[in-house]
Amino acid sequence: MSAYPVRRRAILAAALGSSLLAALAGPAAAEEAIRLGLVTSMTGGFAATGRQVAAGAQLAADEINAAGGIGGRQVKLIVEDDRSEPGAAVNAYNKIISSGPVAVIGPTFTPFVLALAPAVRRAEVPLFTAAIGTKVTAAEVSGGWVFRISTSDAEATAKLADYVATVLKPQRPAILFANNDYGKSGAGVMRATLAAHGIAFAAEEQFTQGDKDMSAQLLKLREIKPDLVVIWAIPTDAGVIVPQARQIGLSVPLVGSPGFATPEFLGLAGSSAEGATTVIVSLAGQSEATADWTQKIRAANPDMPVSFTASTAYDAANLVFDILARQPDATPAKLRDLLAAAHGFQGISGPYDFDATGNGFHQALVVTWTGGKLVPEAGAGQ
Amino acid sequence: MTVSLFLQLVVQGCAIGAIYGLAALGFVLLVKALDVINFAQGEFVVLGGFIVWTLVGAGLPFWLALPGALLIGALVGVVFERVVYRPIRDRDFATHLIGTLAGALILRNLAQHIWGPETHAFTAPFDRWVFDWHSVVINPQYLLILGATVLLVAGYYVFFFHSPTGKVLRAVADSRSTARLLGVHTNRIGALAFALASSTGVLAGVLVAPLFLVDPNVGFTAALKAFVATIIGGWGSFPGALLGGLIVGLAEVFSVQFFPSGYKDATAFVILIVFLLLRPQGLFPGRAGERA
Repeated sequence: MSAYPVRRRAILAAALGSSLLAALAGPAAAEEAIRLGLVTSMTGGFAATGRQVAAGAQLAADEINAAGGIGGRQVKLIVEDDRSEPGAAVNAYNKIISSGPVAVIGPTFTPFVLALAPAVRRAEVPLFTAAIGTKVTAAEVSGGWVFRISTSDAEATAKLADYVATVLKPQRPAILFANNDYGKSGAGVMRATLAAHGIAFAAEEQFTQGDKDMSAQLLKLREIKPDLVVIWAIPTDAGVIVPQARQIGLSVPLVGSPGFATPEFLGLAGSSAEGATTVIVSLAGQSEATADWTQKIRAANPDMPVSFTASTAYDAANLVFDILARQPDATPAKLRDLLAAAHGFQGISGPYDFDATGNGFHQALVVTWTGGKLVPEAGAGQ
Repeated sequence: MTVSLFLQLVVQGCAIGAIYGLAALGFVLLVKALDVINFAQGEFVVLGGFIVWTLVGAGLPFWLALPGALLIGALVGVVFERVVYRPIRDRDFATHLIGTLAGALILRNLAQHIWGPETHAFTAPFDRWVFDWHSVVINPQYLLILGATVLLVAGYYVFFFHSPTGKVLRAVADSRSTARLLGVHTNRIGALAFALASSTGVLAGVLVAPLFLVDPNVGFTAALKAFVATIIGGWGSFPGALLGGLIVGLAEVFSVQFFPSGYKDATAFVILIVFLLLRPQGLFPGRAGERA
């Protein structure tokens, strides 16, 4: 008699325990979501860019979930805000890693990725980034875990320089560039490429980044009577230089750094942007071919400008989903090996082919501002 | 060098010089009226651009937005005097320096908070229209800036030396305690001086916006060159500020024709050093004997 209540309690406990266990391990294991991390700037100075990245990745996750997920499992996008600060990005990254993601889409600015690099090497989880600095995928930085989903600065510049040397073939080109690392490296690639085709700059002028009065340099260039002027500047400086160049009567064709391909530049330069030639990673968000995709991003984010910033994040997420669909049990390490061998994935931005150092995107389109739109140049190829 | 290039360089140099001079006027005004250096003067220039950009963006015609911006600028000046300057006005030079610098940082962050970090285009009133005069390109905005600066210099000169209020301002600069003993409302005078200085800065911001864009970072550059113009012109002289600005502007434009353009920004400071060595009192020594 005295044992009865005890036994009943034991049975109850066992029943309760096993059902709890079942609840924890059974159905949950089958439906556990695949986690994809995202470190991006949702607030602060880089929020305009960061929110585009988030919108792209979110659309990819929503689409795959609407289609039933991957092998019956849903995808959960874990977004952490880096508040536009490299230090906060490291904290955001560590927080995401503790939740066990299969891969992480990271910030689009080189200094942020460099700040994350040690944590990425420790975590051993693939990191995608659209940062264009050459260092980002260097072995000592990436440890083989960083995958670049945008064309590197060096590749894009080389492409534009090649177009100038082989298609535009100026007789008497001149160049105006910022007297910092950015301007000097751009000018260096231009100078070397043109020299290889027997063309030399008739004049080289420099300016301090952020200077608002370029009339002295532009007047000097005008006197040289060049037949083409290359300008290497960030968007805000380009927005000062181009109207001043046109006002002062420098009416020759202009070729500009990738900063010229931004809506920011068009907004500042206005109609004087017309005819300026530059280079862009992808026309996603602007071209006819991507109109449907652009529509979908806009549906969820009505006022957001849509560009390759969103499409590269969208493509990165789909790259992961594509591999997981074929290898559902892939660990982060396995995923890395499969990514490194990935070829021929066709994204919204363009084709992806990863090289040995993790650079997966190599497209660079030579484009010209025509009637407020970027129009690809024929004969520039990809 | 052809005649037309020479003339173009002179036009360009004078235009840029007038901008430096205009930005310097606010500096000079406070030196003259209160004997204080205001390092937030450049931020008033930034405010000018953003305020007029906002007003015109809200649908106001430029010629209404301009006085509106000046009025808002004057109010900012009054608040700045009350919050930043008045608590430290009886302290030494170093306190003024750090205090107004702190005020500049507050204004800058406030502007970023309100308007964000982006740069904007602003083209009123001439919409980037330029005209040719004997193959010299003239931007009407240059004429507007030059005209406004010359008028302001003349206006301030007359105000300070030939109006009763101006004389009171100078008396306060000389000795606040004496002025107060003689029945001057020194608080009111301080507020007036800051209102004038900040709306002068705002005017500069409005007038340079079509050339330099509405950029939150323009304040530092503007203040630096204006400071050089003030020293070259003679500390606390209105005509000196304009002349100092013109010298810096012309030197910058001409130097690029003869030296590598990477050194353009150094030109202003080379001139500054030359002046400090050879004529430290500047072109029109101001404070020393109030000769201007």
